[in-house]
Amino acid sequence: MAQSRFYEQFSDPSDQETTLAEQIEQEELAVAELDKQSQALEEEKADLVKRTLVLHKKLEDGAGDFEEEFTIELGNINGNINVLLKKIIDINAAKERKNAVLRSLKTQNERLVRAESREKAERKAKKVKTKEGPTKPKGRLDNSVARAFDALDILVAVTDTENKQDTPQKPPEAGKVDKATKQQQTNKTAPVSKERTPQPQQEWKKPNFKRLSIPQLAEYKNNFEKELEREEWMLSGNQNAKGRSYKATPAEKVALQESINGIRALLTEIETVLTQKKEAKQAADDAKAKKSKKLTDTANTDDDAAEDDAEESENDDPDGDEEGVDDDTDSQEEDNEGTSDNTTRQPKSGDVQLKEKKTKKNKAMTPTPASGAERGTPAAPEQFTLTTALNKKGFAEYLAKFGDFEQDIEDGNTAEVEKYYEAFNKSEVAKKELTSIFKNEIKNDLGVTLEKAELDAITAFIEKERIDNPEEIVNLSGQIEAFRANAAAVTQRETEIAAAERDLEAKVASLGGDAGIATLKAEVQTQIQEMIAHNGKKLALEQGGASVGQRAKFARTQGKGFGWHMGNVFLGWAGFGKKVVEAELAKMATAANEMQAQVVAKKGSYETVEAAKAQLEVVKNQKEHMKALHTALKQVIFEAADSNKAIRDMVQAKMMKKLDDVINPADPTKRTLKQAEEQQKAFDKLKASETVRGSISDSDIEAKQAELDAAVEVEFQEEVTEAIKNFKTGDGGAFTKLESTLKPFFSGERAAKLGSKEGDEARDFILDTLDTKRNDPSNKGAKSILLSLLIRNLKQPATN
Amino acid sequence: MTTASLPVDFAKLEDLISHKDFVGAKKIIDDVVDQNLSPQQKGEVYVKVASIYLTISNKLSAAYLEQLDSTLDLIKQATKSEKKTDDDFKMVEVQQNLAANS
Repeated sequence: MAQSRFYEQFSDPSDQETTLAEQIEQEELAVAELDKQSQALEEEKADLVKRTLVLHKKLEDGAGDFEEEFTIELGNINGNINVLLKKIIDINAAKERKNAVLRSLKTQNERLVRAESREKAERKAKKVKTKEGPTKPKGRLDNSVARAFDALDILVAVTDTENKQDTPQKPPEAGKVDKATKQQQTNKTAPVSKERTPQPQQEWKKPNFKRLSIPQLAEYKNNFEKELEREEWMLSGNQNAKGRSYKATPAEKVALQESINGIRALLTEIETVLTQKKEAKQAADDAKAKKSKKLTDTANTDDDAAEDDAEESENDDPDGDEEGVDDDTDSQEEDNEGTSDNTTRQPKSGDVQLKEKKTKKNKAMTPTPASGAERGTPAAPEQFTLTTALNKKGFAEYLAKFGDFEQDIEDGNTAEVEKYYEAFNKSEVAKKELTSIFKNEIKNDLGVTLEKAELDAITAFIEKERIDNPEEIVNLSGQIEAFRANAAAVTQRETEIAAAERDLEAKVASLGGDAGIATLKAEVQTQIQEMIAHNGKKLALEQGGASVGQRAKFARTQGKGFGWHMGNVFLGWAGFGKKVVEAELAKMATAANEMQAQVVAKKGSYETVEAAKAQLEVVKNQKEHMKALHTALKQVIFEAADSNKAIRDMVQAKMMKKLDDVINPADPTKRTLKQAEEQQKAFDKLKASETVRGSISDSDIEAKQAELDAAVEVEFQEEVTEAIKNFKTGDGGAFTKLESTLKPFFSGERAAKLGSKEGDEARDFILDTLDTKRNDPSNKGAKSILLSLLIRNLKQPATN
Repeated sequence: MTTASLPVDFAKLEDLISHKDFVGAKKIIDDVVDQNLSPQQKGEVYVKVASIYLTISNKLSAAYLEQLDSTLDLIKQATKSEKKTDDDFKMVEVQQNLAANS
């Protein structure tokens, strides 16, 4: 019996362990396979990103005939990158789930090993009767550790591993969270308390938090916070409020730390979802409040009718397909809570034929959901009353086009009228918005200006269409709302990304920048090599350990032949040798785990950063791409549609000729300063005209002004020169006479404006001209002296 | 939108633009505006091309928004990963302390 138990130390693992090992192996293979797939996709993505950079560079440098081809290719590549990203994220999520299972299996395996080891040690202590203390749980070679080296390249993707379950589950109560299953969901080990007070495992799957309501999420959060507090207390060893403390064993500390990490991850996720839900609810409440306000009047006069309408709606339209135009907000809001609002208003009328006609119109007026619109920014609708509506210009005429509403109005059946009023208002908004888009975005982006007649044509067409094809106008209104909403959403996202980019830069900096990341990569490569070497040593020792076991067997079978004493010697030697080897192997296994954790952590720290950086680069390229496409789109559509372009071209040519005529006299050689100044006045008038400003660019006008300025300067300088030349010195009152002679050049209008020069600029030009004449050798002598005084007086008029 | 009054295939126009055939699209519009159009037809042309512009523009924006969202997700993922990495480092420290003390 004693011998039998002794040899159990060298027996094969139990069947259960074998099964676990097999499971671990399978999971590891699955993870490795996913990693390969992820790696391949990453490489494919990197190639595509490189290609986009090349294409952008080519486009920037001017691709000539290939520009269009490159632009199309860029669009296709960006689409492919998006697809790849989705696949990568899916694979990473799958890897995360597999890793969670894998860690759970390993933990179970380790527990079994520890329990078995403890049991053996106890048996051994009892039988051998040594004076050694209690045997410490020994580490045991874990095949999974060796295989884990092969899976080192696995990047532990941290993604939201959304559970596929559809129905919300009841949140766990504090202190009753099943740790083993929580570990599975959070990739962490089970908490220690389970080891001490084993409980039957309950199936607790992490719910899809996004599908839970706010109160449910709050309950989850509360419970997990309590659990976190409890486990942190257990780990700390401190006294709690009740003066109790808990002394965890080293193994328990490890498990507790892992469990705490898992709870923190869950809490972060819950907090994120909770914030999003609250924001969405706030937005929905605001929209609802607006709508309630709008319907106040109607509700006062139409309560019975509304109830009947609701009943009719449920009977006629159980699927809620025919929603009224004002039901969007509600249904969207309800969708957030996982329900749908089937309450729809339908016309109440005894006239079946008219009702059908109206119903058809109602259906036609249901707006198409705005593609890409995340949040609309429609103008707040005014409060509806029959009086308000029928006071609206054109609404009575508009309503009359759709049937006989006289009885409805007399009966106070406002619901039907309100729907048409809303459609009417939408068309009004569409008119204004479309005109605004033409007047602002298109004019600013492309310099295309539509004449009033063209804008009127747009308005007239919308007014006609809202009667002939109201659904088209409602759809157009939806497109405009989406256009505005998209612009706002893009701005918002770009702002968020800019903030996130700063965080990312900070993260890169914390890693030592690109150089630091390169160092980190090199360290990881070195560590991987060290791990491989370590693993080799471990395996060698493992094999050596097996031979020790064989020697022990030998001691048992052969010991008899050597007598009792020699048998004991062999046994003691073999047992001692095995202990030493086992202890060493346990240390090595621990070291291997630590090395692996370090490598995975290091890889994770820079690989996610690098992936995010690459993605940011893609977005930047995408942004440029989008801008280019939008510009091309606008140019194609609006430049071509600008039917008055030919007329404007003609006007532009005419205005340019006018400016030229003004600037260039028939015979420039006979032009005088006075004539040049008259030309400037005429030019100023032309510049101020809307026709010129609307048809000629600022740069063209500035060029013409420069020509005219040059002419004015030349004439001014020539006439001043002539006046000084003709002035005779030597008489009494010489200075006064010179001053009087030149006064027309520096006083009156010219002192304030000369050509386009005004104020100080004009004065400086006059002084510069006089200074030039003073320094002219031909004026050297009395003239230059007199001119000096004149210049001085002009500069300091108050002192002389 | 009714197009019966205009000799133009707006569906084809939209299709060409969707496929980034701007040259072909421009030709179609040029052909339309070169004709002697009534104010009613002019209004129709403007509204229709605006509608096409809005449709395509919204599609482009939606694709761009998707890209932006996916980037934001990735950056958030990196942020989460950063936290997890810190936790992993802490775990390693705990394990090392335990190994040293055992």
